[in-house]
Amino acid sequence: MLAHASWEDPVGVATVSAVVRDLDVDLELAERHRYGDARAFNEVYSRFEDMVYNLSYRLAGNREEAADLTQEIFLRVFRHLGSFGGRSTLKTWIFRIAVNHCRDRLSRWHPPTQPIGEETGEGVAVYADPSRGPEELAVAADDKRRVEEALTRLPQVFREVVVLRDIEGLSYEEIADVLGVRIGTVRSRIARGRDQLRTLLET
Amino acid sequence: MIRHLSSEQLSAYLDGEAAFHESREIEGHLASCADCRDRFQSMQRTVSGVWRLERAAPPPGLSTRVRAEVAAARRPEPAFAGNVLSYLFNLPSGPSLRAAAAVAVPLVLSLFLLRSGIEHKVVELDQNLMLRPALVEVVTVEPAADLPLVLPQTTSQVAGREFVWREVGGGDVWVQKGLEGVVPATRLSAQSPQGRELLAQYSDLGLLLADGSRVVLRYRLETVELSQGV
Repeated sequence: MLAHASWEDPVGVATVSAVVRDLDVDLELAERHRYGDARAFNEVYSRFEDMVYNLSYRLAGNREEAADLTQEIFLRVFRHLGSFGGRSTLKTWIFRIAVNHCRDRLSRWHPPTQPIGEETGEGVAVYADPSRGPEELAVAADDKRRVEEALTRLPQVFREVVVLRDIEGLSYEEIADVLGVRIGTVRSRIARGRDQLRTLLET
Repeated sequence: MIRHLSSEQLSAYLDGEAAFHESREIEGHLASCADCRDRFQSMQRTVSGVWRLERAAPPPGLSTRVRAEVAAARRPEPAFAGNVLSYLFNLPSGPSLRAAAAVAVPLVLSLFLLRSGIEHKVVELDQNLMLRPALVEVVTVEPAADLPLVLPQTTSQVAGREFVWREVGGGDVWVQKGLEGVVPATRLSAQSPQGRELLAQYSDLGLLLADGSRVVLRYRLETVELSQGV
């Protein structure tokens, strides 16, 4: 059975301290950006580039589109970083900008007919496991392609929560903050998204 | 005892997001209900398939693209006059014609203002025409007969602060707004370690120092004068 964090858990105290510390760093970055320190944005970019690109890629299902989206998202981040007030962490603030921008762009954009799994492997980190035989690797690659394809076929509203939870590893509270909805809505959308994903994989 | 577990309960439990008492209840039910156990395992398989997807690595040139885009956004928006000049400069003409336009446009503008008898007129000019580099330039035109051909720049916004130009002791000084008349507590050379550190933090200040001017600003709770001098 899964382990559950509880309020008695001393690790919770460390987590709260880490969040406060991160928030201090986030606010300092925003302040330095406001005062014209070019290095502040560079730090933000280095910290979140991978996260924003990966999210864009999973929402758009296309590497070229993901690169364009990432560029536009960071331009927005650059323009608004000075107004970041620390009401959420910089991470969820950037995720919010990213999700909203992807929604806006993808509602006007139609994905290519080529499914995500049939693109070339370029740009995706693939870690070969020497202990697995060629047959096993082929099955794993096929499974991966099926999951990626099913993910792109999920309705946007469910794809967002599944990507944020199962790929980006955000907590329900963070997802609620990113999407501007209640935790109950997040819980329900994740469950429905997973159910639909399972149905898509079974067909 | 719950009759059957909902997908929402199974999903929240899988994520460790179910409340403590709810988790105990779900565990109790899963131990005794084969149907719910199967559904839970099926959900686990689906989710672990997503977990196993590799993270997509950004393409190598993306960082350069974004930084170039941001650098372009950092540059000031051209003012109205700047737009007119940009339009003129973008006409399919040779460099000599552009250079002539660079001299002629402010000259014609100055003469027009004088002839119209305007006493105080604020004109924003594109930074490319000015001797001093700046992000925003505001020029006050006095109705004097000896108006210079190239209008002097008197304020500048750099490093997120506003600076005012002053002539002090025969030298040009850019003073951070609000610090006029304050005697600097520290004088720093741009080549000194502290000067280099300051410039590294606010690289745009180099624009003000470029023509030999000094810069007075607030830095680390002190009023500091920065100059190019060794």
